[in-house]
Amino acid sequence: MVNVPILHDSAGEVSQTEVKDWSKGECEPIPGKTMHDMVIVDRDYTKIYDKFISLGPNVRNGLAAHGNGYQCADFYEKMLDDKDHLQVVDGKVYPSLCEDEEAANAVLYLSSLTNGELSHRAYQNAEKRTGLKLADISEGAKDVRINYKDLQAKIHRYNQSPVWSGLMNDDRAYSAFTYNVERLVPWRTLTGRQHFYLDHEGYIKFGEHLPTYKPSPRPEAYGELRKSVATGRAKVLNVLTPHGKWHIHSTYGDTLRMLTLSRGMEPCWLSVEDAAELGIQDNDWVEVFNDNGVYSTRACVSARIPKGVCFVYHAVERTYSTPKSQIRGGKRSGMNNSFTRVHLKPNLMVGGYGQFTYHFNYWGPVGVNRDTHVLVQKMEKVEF
Amino acid sequence: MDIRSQISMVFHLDKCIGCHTCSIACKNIWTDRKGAEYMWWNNVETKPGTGYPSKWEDQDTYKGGWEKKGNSISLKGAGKFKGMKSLFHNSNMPVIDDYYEPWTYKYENLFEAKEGDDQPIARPVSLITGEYITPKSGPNWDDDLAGSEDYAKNDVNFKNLSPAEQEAMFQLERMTLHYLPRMCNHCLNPACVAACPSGAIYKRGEDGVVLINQKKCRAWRMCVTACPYKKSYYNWNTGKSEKCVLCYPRLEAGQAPACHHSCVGRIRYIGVMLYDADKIEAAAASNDEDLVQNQLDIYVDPNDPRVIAAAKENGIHDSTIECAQKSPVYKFVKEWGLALPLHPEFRTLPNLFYVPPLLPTMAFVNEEGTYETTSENFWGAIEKSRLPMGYMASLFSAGNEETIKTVLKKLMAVRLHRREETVGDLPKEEAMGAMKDAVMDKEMADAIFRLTSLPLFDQRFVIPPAHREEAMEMLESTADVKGNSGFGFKEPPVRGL
Repeated sequence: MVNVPILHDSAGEVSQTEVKDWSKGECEPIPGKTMHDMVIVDRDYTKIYDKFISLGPNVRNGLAAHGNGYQCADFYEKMLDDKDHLQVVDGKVYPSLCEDEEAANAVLYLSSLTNGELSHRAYQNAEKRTGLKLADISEGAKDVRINYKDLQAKIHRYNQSPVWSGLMNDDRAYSAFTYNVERLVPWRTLTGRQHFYLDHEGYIKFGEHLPTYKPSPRPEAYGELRKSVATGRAKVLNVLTPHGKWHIHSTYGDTLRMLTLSRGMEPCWLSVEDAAELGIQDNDWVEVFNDNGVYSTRACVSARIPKGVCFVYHAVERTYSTPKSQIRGGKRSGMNNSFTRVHLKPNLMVGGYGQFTYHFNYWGPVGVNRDTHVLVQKMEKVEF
Repeated sequence: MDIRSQISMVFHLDKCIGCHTCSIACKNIWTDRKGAEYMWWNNVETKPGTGYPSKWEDQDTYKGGWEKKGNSISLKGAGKFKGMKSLFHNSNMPVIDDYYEPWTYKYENLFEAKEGDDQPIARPVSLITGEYITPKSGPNWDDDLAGSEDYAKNDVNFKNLSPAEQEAMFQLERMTLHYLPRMCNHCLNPACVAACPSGAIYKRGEDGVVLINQKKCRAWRMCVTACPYKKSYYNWNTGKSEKCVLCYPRLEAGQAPACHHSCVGRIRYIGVMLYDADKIEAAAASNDEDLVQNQLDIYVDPNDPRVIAAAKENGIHDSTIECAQKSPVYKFVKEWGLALPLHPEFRTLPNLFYVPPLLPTMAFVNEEGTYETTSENFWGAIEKSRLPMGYMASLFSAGNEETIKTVLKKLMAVRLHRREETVGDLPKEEAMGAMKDAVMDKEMADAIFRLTSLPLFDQRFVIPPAHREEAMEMLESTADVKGNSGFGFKEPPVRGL
């Protein structure tokens, strides 16, 4: 049995108009309505790998994203005609995902962005849902099929799809929400419009029903510096973990080119004033730590950084250049996720309420890019 | 009139986002070899900053380029007497630490480390000695004002700025930076060619590309000193000097150099410029304040029938003349007067021109300490620029601030005109007035806008056919060069007679 949050694009997303806690007996516990869902999943743990390398038959039921679905059973059947790219599991035949190119081609074949017929079907479905005329958008691209070899040979402009909100006819550059503005397709919100005001008990109680200024909680409120004790000259700084320039999260972060063009590792950027106060020179080794964890790195002192703040661009890999932490008794230091942790904000757990319903990577607890505080001090001894 | 053809470049700095894709394209193709690890024929610097190699612009230290001697010029750091003096120790060369000690990581340790209490780690090791190191500098060490106290504040271009002006450049609410992509300028008056005692460096007749003959180079490294841009590098493995070849194998196939082709911001333009070689010496010996104008006067109008006739007489092919007429570089440099050479005071007459950045000059902080965003003042005034004019003049006009102001006024006029056209929230008179000030009509403003913001590949890169069938090398016997393998061979120096 798998516990599942009430999900966006499910019937449950309009189930909770008021805040009631079933665990306190305030309402009946009804899975998927007043509490999270519970789903029975059959899983043969001896067959995980087989599932990993083959495309299962549920694709026959169609695919959907962002509330826009399309039927693709016929294309799944056609994949089974390609005898060179199949897997046989327990006597049953499936499209193969074993080789990287097979996996890439399966995605390209079944995506509305690279299969024009599927894009057309998705717009036809959107017509049914909205009562608007929309399928003309994809009319001209019905025969487009882009596979991996095509992409290797040359760049291709992908199809439009109602999964995304930009219109791209006549070589137009993608721009979000042009689909909603120009074709009058409602936004996927409770009102069907973009709106600032949130008429929800939970948001009103937290004063978040309108986007207004609220000061950040003080460092003590987070309780991340209760046990940390500096062993040298140290200072509490607000640590920011923005997107880096030399990697996409951790991807490419460990390539020699990117490392050579930056500082060989992801440094901790310090203001000139704070560095002077702490006796830290540019490129000195420093420890950035709090109760959550520690990152040992080198300092990058810059006039670009305001006093009281430091930066560590995310996401660091602790496979290269990371020394052992002095403050943690010689254990290998961590990375930027070591000194941050999730700060659960209650109104992010309001669910079953239209666009505020959980969806993986879209709506849920957010990163703590600006709300963590650390101590920074110079490392006296550097060991690997 | 001695008309010749030169492949020239324009980099539009307002469009450069400092992504270094150009550097990586170049590195992967040309300098991913032993002895070349530290070389970045193309690199991108943050300005203010000291760049790569550190403080390369400081010719008091490096003695690069030419200096004016009466009505002529002489090399600052080379020549017969200077050469003899520094025969056994040339102290005016950057050493490896001025570039950086290239490094890699002991990646294999991640797999081969003995079982222990802690996760294994790939430590940095020097690519020269193989020893463990902590990197102390790199080809882009001062990126985005990193280590600003040690690097940006020592920018050589601060020399003529007042202490107050310098201080203001590092106030949090006032500071700005821009990127400066750099490569070999394939100069009209190349100091590297002049300084080479072996005659190994030459400027190719058909397109002006400057090359080092790897067979002739004898490792004097005078070119390393002489090039004021520090774009000639010594390969410690082959014992030869190397430099940007402008991807001539690509050029000859009608393709843009890899750094141009890969440019994400599409800041790069390449095209033919016809020039009058008779004017080179006089231009190179101009007074500082006239250097830019006199260099620009060397380039001639490719539509002028006298120029065309003289070009044909010199054997310049019709297709090259046609490309010169369509050259985006000619438009930016000559027709519109928007692009300037980098450090013209080095007197090498570089063929890479920069459209100076306008964006850092706009958006200023008002007396309340907040950014001015009202529509009346949003466009700011060039005089209130966050980058002092003296700083940009040091980079692009040998200190002549009027030259910079003229260009920025033009750039501003184009913006005001386009704002008026597309948004319409400015008084028409303001846009018209700005264009009038900048000596520009609507047609020119629109043409500048199109080639700046909307150009397609073929408009940015107008490359003539190579006509290798007419090149000097084709007259040689191919048998003579059989067995040569280009870069990568090692030829030990032969001692004695």
